[in-house]
Amino acid sequence: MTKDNMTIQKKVVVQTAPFDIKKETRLLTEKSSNIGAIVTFTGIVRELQEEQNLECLELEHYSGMTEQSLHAIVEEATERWSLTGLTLIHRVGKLKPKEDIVLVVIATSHREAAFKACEFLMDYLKTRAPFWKKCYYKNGTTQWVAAKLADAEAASRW
Amino acid sequence: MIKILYFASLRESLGIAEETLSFVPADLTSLLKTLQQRHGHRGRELLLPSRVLCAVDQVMVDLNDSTLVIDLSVSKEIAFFPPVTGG
Repeated sequence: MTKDNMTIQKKVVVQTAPFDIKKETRLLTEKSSNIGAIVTFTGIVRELQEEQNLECLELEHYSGMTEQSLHAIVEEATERWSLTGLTLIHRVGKLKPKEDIVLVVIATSHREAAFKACEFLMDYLKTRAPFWKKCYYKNGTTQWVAAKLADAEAASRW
Repeated sequence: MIKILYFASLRESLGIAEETLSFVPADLTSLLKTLQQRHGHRGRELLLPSRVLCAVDQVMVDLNDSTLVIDLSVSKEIAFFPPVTGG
């Protein structure tokens, strides 16, 4: 690990509670004087899934491995790009339509690294972190979300 | 003793979240064979390298990699699960 790498502010959390995007952004920026760009990504629960109305989405995960794999993905992002700060929060449990699922906040000196690191993080997370989504539809049926080939292809470009 | 974990749709299809093996199989291939036999036609249909992902002590391994060598005698927890869908 380089000296630069040690000073990167990193936060990785798996939680059931909602997160506050403004607060997380402020926490990343308030201690640094070298930030020129912030990129945030928020994934939210889509109401319409497979042309059916969703009652709620359940996020299952492999406790322990989830945290390890997210830390590994974050480490890789900080090795590939020069980042000042990085926050990754992923929610689990039952979530209603329009609720937030995942938050990525990347702070850098210049925007290019922030955009790239954010895309990389989401692409890797979607194919490597042990989360699974189950849809509970308004008509009473349930369905596990199937993995998308497009996600695997997106991750393979890095 | 090895702990076996199943997640998501695989857990529901097999009807079990966790089980233990009192002996140590030679490798992941023979472990999968043992588990296929335990879980009848559902096991034979689902517990295949082409259909499940695997993590050994919480680190993902590639079941389709023929060069993969895993010493199960030092492994504590093997997990099988469908392709992941987080984010």
